[in-house]
Amino acid sequence: MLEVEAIHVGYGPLQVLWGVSVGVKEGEVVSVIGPNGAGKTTLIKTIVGLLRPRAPDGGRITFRGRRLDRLAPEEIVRQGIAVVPEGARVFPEMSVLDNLRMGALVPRARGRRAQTLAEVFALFPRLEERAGQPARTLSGGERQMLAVGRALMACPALLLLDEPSLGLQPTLVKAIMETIRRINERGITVLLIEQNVHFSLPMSHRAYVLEHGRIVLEGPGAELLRDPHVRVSYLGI
Amino acid sequence: MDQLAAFGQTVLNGLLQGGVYAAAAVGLSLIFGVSGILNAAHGELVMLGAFTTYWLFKLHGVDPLLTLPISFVLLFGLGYLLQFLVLNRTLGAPLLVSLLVTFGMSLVMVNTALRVWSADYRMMAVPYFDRSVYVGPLIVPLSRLTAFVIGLAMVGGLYWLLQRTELGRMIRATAQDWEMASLMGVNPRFVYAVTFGLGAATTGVAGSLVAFYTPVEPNMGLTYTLFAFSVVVLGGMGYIPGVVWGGFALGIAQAMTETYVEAGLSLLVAFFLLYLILRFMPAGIMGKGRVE
Ligand SMILES: Nc1ncnc2c1ncn2[C@@H]1O[C@H](COP(=O)(O)OP(=O)(O)OP(=O)(O)O)[C@@H](O)[C@H]1O
Ligand SMILES: [Mg+2]
Repeated sequence: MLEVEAIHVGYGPLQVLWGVSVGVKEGEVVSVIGPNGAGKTTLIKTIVGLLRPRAPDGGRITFRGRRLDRLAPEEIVRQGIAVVPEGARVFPEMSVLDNLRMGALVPRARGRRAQTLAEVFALFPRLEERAGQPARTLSGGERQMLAVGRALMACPALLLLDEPSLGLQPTLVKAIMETIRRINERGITVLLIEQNVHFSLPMSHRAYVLEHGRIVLEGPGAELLRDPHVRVSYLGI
Repeated sequence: MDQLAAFGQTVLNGLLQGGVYAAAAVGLSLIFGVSGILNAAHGELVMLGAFTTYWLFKLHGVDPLLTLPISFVLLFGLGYLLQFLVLNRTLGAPLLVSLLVTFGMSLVMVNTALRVWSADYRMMAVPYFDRSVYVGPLIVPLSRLTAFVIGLAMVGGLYWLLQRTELGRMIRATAQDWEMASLMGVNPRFVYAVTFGLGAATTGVAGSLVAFYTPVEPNMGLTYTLFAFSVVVLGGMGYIPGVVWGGFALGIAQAMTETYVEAGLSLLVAFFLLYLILRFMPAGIMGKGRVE
């Protein structure tokens, strides 16, 4: 469904990703783990078009056979991709409800807005209680819920999540991972960046380890969880 | 009693003028709040709106009230194109760049207007605008009352559009985080163009309202740039409802000065208020300084 093929990406003279390839098949949960500064966020930003692969020969990104790496972000998301960015990035001065409405702007989601909104409220009842409040007044966990809800409002085929559990207490991490699993069961393909590997790897069909801008390991999630390198570096065992 | 009436009349004159100032300033606030552009050609949009109304009335006998939608549409188109073709190229550049570019635009507009229309002062003579409403000892000229009501209604309408419509949500979202807005499927360049269009359109209509009761001339823009800038700083940069309080504050301060100090100091009053605010309340009277 999504193929990232040997992309080279950087900021100005600084190159961050060195020939990274990642594939996600329809219906999968695929996770990417890696230490701080490895380039995980850079990977997500490149997929959604906020960053471009280095020209020329910076690699290519395709989604359902269509090339993404030359499209503008607003065109990429219209293909059916939604993102929960690092740090949630909800619109702070807009109400919770308006944030969710913003999620449903893409044509594929517009007609189903009322129905999707009911589904999102069923998934996160807290958001319904806070519907009229400005998003800046939400707690960190509620903001993450809002960012996930906003992404779901787009009725995406592929959901990208960049550390949705960042800064959350362990019980909330578990809850948000459980939510992601349920979202996937409803048929939404997931690419997940997540540091809490003992929650994320078991539910991942496949996973990649990204270090210093290169993929150093890949395999089924449960298998990677048993890998000695992963256990030492990411579980501290 | 006479003194009290004179005071009341002064406050009333200030309020009436202040409503029009709010209308003339709201576009500047909107454009700055959303796109981070300080539009140095702002007053020239007032001038173009004023001339639109003047010429439509003078040459084609169009009722001044009916010229308002025309002014709106023409200036919207001009604003949209200026942003889309020129200012979108300055996105991400320092404030100074857009300031210089819009200053260049203002020079082109003023000099074109001088060339085409000459430097003459022109005043519309609209029969039904010569009348006044009398409230006790107070005199309310119909032309100013009309301009006041329409000006404030327009500010309210813009606020409503921003808060309650899908386009408004797109504009606010882009103002707060344009990258995230683009990930919602919004084309920020389109939003910036529409925003400049709306800002120019409301400013043009404010110019049309000004033409109801003041003479029109190509150089009138600069004072309106300064007035609008003062109003926006008074109300809080980018905070839309703030222009109402900013407009009233400037209008009343000018009227007071005119009555009790000396006429012809309106520019000085604007500068003085600007100085006071920047010195003591940089976020504006209401303490808010961003688009919400
Ligand atoms: N805008 C930027 N300009 C310059 N360098 C950047 C920029 N953003 C990120 N970098 C650098 O790129 C590298 C990768 O950053 P990235 O945010 O992709 O890491 P990450 O894997 O998401 O890390 P974390 O787990 O901390 O979120 C880092 O060394 C970072 O300093
Ligand atoms: Mg990151």
